[in-house]
Amino acid sequence: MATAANNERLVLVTDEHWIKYVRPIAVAVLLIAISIALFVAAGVTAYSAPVVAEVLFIAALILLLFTHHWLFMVLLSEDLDRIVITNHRLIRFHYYLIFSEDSLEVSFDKMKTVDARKQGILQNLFHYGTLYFETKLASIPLVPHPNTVSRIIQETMHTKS
Amino acid sequence: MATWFPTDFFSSPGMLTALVIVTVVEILSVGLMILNAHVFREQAGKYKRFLAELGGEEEWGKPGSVLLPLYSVVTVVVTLITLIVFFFQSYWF
Repeated sequence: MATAANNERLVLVTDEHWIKYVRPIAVAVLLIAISIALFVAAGVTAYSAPVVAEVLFIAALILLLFTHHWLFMVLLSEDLDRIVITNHRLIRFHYYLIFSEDSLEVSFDKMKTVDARKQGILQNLFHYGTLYFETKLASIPLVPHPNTVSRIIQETMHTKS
Repeated sequence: MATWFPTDFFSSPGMLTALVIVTVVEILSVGLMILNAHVFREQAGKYKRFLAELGGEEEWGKPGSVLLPLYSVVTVVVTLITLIVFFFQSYWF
């Protein structure tokens, strides 16, 4: 985990764009629909084929619980993800609960240029994009209003230098 | 004699095996929820301390303040509902 340096102060903290939640929620809805179908199938076969019914029930239960825990692990992890800009650096925190913890740090001593790009209909419609440092040496996706964030970073870089 | 509780679970090894599997899976599910909640609070605490070092504790935003309780409630509800459906499925279908 990063630690603050002397004379380091916070400039901006921002979350990633909400669109990051769309895909996991869509996948979870699909998997829950499949598990519900398996539960119904288990109920329908309960009298005619009880062994099959029990197998279907257990399969449905495992799929439902897996989907439930996976979805909340993703949501909780994304809830913790942040982009922190200080007067010395930019840090992007990325967590995945029990699986991984990752931070990308971009020092303003080493990176002097930042480029904001919004590509495609979705990114332009929903105002999010990617920040590129030193022409793609480092990049940070899913930044909301990337041009505004890029301007703040450039002002901070110039103030530091 | 009719009973309100389905006693056919104890009538065959297959049913008992299914009962054991379902019980174990439910216990593991609740255990995973507790583990995830613990890890989340730990990671959130590290992040909060880092912001505090930068003098930006007000930017904390309390992540997980809605999701964590929701996760716990949904886990318990799903566990109870699936157990009830498992025990009483032969009565309903």
